[in-house]
Amino acid sequence: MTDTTLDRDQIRAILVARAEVLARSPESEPAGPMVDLLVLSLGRERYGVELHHVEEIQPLRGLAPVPGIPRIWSGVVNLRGRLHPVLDLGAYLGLREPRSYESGAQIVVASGAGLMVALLVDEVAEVVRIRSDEIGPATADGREIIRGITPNLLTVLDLNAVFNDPKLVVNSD
Amino acid sequence: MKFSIGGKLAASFAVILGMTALVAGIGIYSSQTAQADTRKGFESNVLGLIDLVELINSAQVTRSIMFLHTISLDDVAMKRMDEQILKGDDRVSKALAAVKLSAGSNSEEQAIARKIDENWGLWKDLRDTKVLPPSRLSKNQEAQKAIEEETAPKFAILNGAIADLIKLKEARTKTQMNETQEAARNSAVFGISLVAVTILVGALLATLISRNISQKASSLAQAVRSLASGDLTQRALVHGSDELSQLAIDFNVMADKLQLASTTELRTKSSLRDGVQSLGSASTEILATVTQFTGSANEQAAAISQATATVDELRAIAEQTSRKASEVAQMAQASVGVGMEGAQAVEAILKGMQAIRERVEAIAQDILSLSEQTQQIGEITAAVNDIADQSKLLALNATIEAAKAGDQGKGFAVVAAEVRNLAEQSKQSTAKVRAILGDIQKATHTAVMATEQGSKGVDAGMGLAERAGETIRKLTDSIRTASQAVQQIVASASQQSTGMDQIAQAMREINQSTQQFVAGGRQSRAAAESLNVLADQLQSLAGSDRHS
Repeated sequence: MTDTTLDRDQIRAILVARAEVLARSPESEPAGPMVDLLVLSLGRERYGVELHHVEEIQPLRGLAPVPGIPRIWSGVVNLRGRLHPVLDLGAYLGLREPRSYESGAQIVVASGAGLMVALLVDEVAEVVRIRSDEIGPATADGREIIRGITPNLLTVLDLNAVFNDPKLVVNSD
Repeated sequence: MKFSIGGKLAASFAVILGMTALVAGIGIYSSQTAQADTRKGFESNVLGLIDLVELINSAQVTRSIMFLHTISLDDVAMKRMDEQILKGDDRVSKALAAVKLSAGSNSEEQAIARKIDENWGLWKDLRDTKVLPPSRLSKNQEAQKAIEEETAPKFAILNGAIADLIKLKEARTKTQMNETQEAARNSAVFGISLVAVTILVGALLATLISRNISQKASSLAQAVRSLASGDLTQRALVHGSDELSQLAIDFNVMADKLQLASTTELRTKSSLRDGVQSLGSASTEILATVTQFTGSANEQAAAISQATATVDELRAIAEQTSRKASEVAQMAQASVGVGMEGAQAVEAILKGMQAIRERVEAIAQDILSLSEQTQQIGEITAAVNDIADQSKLLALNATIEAAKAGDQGKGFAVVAAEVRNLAEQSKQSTAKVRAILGDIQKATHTAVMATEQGSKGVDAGMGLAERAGETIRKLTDSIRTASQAVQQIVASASQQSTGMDQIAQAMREINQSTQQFVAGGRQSRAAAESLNVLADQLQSLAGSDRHS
């Protein structure tokens, strides 16, 4: 620094500039359409599903195993008189081996593609709201079940695509 | 040889004395002759020379006065000089007479003396006639001329004559001295030759006589020596008639008598010898016995001394033992006291241990109940956590319902989010409480374990203390037994010490009597030895004649 002492006018200019920056209001109400995401915990991974697919969340109780079906299906549960098939989401996504019963686990009853399925997850964490245009494209190709990735690196599942997945089909033969 | 030894010695001494006297006489005679010659030479030559010097002197003095007279002008002085000249004439004529006398019978000297006399007369006449008269008339030049022309030639002749006479006398003195020296040398050579002859003669005589005497004496001495060494048959040779021959004859007579006496004595001595021999062997036996006896007595005395010393040592050891035993007894007594104190201390330790054990058990009980209560708290916390979980689910479902309701459900969604937050917080709190409870449970477990270990340690300590107490009791008992035994030992040690004293006293008395015994043995031995010596002497006396 050659000139250690600044002009009074210079100092004033710097302070004004700072004040303008600080006074800038946080981003006003997002302009584009918003989307609510329910955040699910599967081990260390976190996935998001659009909230309009979700019917309700319940702790896993009274799981009844069904023999002769693919192992990604854990069984069925009875919720207020209705039976719901339980999909082991972690096993389906290839994160872990299927388990027969998860104590302390929760189920998320979701609807899509004309089906209503209970997704078996470790825990439902929270609900977040983001702009739909913030959801970037999925990098991994061949993953039609993934709608995109948020700036927070939350993988957003496309439940319609998931429920249309032929792997879920139980061969009645 | 018909002369006796004394005669021979006297004759040879007389010969030597005679020759010595001859040498002395010749010496005295020659020295006297030399002395006379020297004196004669001295008188005729040296005194003659003195007279000549007097003559020259007085003539010169007179002539000098005459010169003074010719140069003097004073009448008084000239008169005095005339007188002096007359006196000088007198001296000259006296000296001239002496010179004539010393010339003696030598014709040459007499002729020169006459020539001197004549010239002196002529010089005196010329002086009185031609020199002095003009001088008295103060005609000095005339007088001096007369001196030069008349008197001086006469005086020169006079001087020459005197010088001739001096030369003659000198030559004669030298001749005489040579003659005297020759004579003295001859007489010395003669004297030395005579002395040498005398010595030779004396030596010859001495050798002859001594050889004669020593031959006889040695043969006689040989005979005496043989006799002295016991050969009584030895006799001396006799030849001649001197004292030694007489001695040899007498010696032979004595030897005959001795031989006769010894043959008669021999018989009595042999019986005496037998007796002495038996006496000797008896005394030797006595000496041997006494020696043996004395030796064994000495050994006994030595052994007893040793034994006495040993007993003294034993006594000292016994006293020491007694002392040590009483010390040990005191120590044992003290040990009993200490052992009892130890037992009491162990009792106290046991009581203290009991109290500690009760305390530790109470603490363990308290900690166990605390642990149970903590368990209950954990259960309650689990219930709270469950409720929080359910609240969270409810809140999430409410949020979903609110989202389904669309814009009308917006406010409800906010409430649901708050409820969810609360549930989350209570979940976190219960998690914390659970962690704290876990820590507490761990701590209580550790404490329970510690109290159990403490209890076990106290149990072990009590066991040890009980064992220590038992050991101390046993130790005290055995110390007490030992103390009693030591007291018995003390008593017996003092008895032993007293017994040892008595033994030592007895040993001392034995030692004393043994010493007296040894002394008696020594005296007996001395007596036996002197007896033996006496026997030996007797035996040697008796045996000394065995070979004669």
